[in-house]
Amino acid sequence: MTLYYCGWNGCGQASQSSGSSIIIRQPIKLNFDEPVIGVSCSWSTLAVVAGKSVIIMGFIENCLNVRKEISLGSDCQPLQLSSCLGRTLITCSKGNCYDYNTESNKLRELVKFTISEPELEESPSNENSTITKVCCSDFGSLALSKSGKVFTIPSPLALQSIVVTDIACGNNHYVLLTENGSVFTWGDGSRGQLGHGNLESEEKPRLVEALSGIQVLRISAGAWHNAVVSSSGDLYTWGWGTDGQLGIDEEVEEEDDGNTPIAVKKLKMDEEVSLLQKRNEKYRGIVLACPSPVDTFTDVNTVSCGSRHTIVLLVDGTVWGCGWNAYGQLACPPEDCFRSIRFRQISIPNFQGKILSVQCGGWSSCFIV
Amino acid sequence: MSVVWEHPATLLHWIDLEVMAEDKVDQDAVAERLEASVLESPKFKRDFQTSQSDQLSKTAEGETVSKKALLGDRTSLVLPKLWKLLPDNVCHTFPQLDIVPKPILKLMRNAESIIVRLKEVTSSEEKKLKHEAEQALTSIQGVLDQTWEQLNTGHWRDVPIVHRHVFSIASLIKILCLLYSQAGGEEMLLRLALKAADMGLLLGAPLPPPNECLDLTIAASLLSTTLAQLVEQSGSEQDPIILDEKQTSQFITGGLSGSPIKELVCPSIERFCTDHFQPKLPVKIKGCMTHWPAYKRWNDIGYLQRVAGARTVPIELGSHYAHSDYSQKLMTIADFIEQHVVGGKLGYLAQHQLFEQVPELRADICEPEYCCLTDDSIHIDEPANDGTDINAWFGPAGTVSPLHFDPKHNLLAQVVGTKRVLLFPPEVSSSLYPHSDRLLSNTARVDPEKPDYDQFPLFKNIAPPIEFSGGSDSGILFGGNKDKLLKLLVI
Repeated sequence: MTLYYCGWNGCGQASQSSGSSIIIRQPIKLNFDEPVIGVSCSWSTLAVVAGKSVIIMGFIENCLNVRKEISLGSDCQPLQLSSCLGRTLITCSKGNCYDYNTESNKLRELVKFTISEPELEESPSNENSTITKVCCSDFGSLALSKSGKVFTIPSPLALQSIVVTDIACGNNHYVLLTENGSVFTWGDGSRGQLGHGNLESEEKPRLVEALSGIQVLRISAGAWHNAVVSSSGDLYTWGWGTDGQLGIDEEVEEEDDGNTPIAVKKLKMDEEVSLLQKRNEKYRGIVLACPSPVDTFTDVNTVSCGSRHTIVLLVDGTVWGCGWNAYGQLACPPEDCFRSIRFRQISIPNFQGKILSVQCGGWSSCFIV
Repeated sequence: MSVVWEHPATLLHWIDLEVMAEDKVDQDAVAERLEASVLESPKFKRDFQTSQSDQLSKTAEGETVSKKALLGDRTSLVLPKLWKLLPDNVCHTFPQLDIVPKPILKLMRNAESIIVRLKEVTSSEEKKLKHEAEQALTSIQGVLDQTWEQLNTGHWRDVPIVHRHVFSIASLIKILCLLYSQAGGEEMLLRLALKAADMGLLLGAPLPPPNECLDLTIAASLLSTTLAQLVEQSGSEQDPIILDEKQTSQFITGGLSGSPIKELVCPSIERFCTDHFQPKLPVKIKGCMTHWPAYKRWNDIGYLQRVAGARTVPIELGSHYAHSDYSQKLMTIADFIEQHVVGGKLGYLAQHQLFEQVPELRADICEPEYCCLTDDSIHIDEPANDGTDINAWFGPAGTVSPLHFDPKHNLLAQVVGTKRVLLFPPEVSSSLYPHSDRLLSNTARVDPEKPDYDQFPLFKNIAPPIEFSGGSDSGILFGGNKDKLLKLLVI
């Protein structure tokens, strides 16, 4: 398992050598001694689980270009991690989780947060406190237990008889996926990121009704947008499309009245490209307060959102991205494409194999092959 | 083009306006992402091509020439003045810096220390200088982009002011980085630097003492003046724009017409107060603007181009602000004039505090003494007290503001062109069918020019409004918080 990285490198999160570029325009291979198991990136750090160790790179303890290796102990296998500006949360095989503070370079185990509310004490079995996934944002972090309970660390979230299977955090909003494929959101809704058809905020998880009847398998959250994949391989997005990260091109063109989409198809390839380029440049952003289906080339396997970009892995093994590319997060030079309002194909130079997973965060994208 | 003074009726209403204004900035913020808006402009493209060909000719002439042109002549002159705006150690001394995420602070301080080093650099190190300035430019852009994300997380009014301070400081650092970077021709760099100053003015906030000298208004004025001199010198100035007479006089009137408004010639404050302000009766005041420098100067669009052409402002696009096709875009005044005012495409520089942004234009207008009246106690204040907002409205023929009311009293000064305004008394508010959602609750759904009587039957029975229709040199008072008004504008 090898890791490729592209995007923002302003804190030295991908390459610590002096004189390395702040913008990584094309995926570069990052070398680790052991196979890469998990990865998470934020604006200031890149955190990687390689073998038994956790490696954090970027801005640590008020220094740029730092590479730190953290050990959780010999009997602890790190499984999954999540980074934001100030911290990285790590889960491990024993079911406990750790909080690594990048500002102080201090690691502490998160304990007891699973039993801080009396109602949960009735079932203090070990399983309840087994944390399988963590997800962090600078406004509050989530943890998911094996039995499907969610904690806004440290308190449990009151969700009666709902078994949660996945969690995601935006800048200031949260997304849950339940075992029957329903999606719940809460937090700041001022930019349509909750998907309830309005711009109101919600204090508690609320079912996204527009997705009812659709069994959702994957969820992901960007800074102000979300992307989910249904059991039939369809992609839905909603929220604030500042830079086309919704993959939906809804803008009404004032001038190009003659150029209907049908006409576009008939244009020669290069003309089509230049027309798209022009539309990318002129894009003004949209807000979609309801989930909307997105046209993709073929069925979607999985999706990952960075702050302002979205990358999908399709069932045919190809990888496509849309949204902001000012720092190369779509794996192409920003000079060629500052933003892409439609999905464009991503490839890794000099690599023909299969991309197994994609993990976006901040202004960066990671590909595990 | 017109100027509107909004005056507080009561404190409560003043707060209302704050909220409105803040929601509006959210939309400015949406538009902010359009870094490309300067880059895509036809003017910019021309400049860029020119600057590239400049560089080619330089290399052809040999090294001596390029060495001489380390920094442009004009840039060398303006740089010391810009340096004076950057307080020593500002990145370590602004208040509440502990709230700023550490990596942002770190990158900002790094960029600052790089440009401080550049200030002292000798010509032998010029290659290093150029490279470092470009690196610092990318980092500081990262700081601005990340701070922009901070500014847009949660509701605008809940965002700590310190992020806006960071935006202001980073904008000034970006300006300095740009000018040292030589990433393009001198004119292009000045344009980009001016855009950075305007973005800082739109999204940042002035710093409190001891860093109050970091004033982006001054930075923008310096850059704007320098740019104007450079353009004049190189002769690449745009052709003068003469407005077609028809454009300014053409009026599309429809729907209902009102009874003409009462006119007075320079009434005394006392008379204005007792006859109009207190009873809230609209009036058109003639002859009180002839002494304004703007009265002559603004007739020449070339003047606006010269003084403010390169400044970036928010433009409202679409039929009007309550219409579904509404959006905002940031563009330079020069492009706005070219594409909209002359080009005739709908677009409105509306409700923008242009005069705070461009003090050169503020100097062309005088605050009418009628502005000194306030509601709570009718006494004569010092003019230009804090409660008065001065907004500019500038657009092509056919620009419309839907029927609405403002939280403050309005004094509208029509400087160039003509405008039609319909005023309804506050009692008929419910017959005008206000929008139900909070943001548009001050706006009517009825279009008085094309009233839909099936949908809005009550509108049929109301008395005709007061109509103001006029060109330059007329002021008008609106009882802002209660009267409904419609503005229909021809520049």
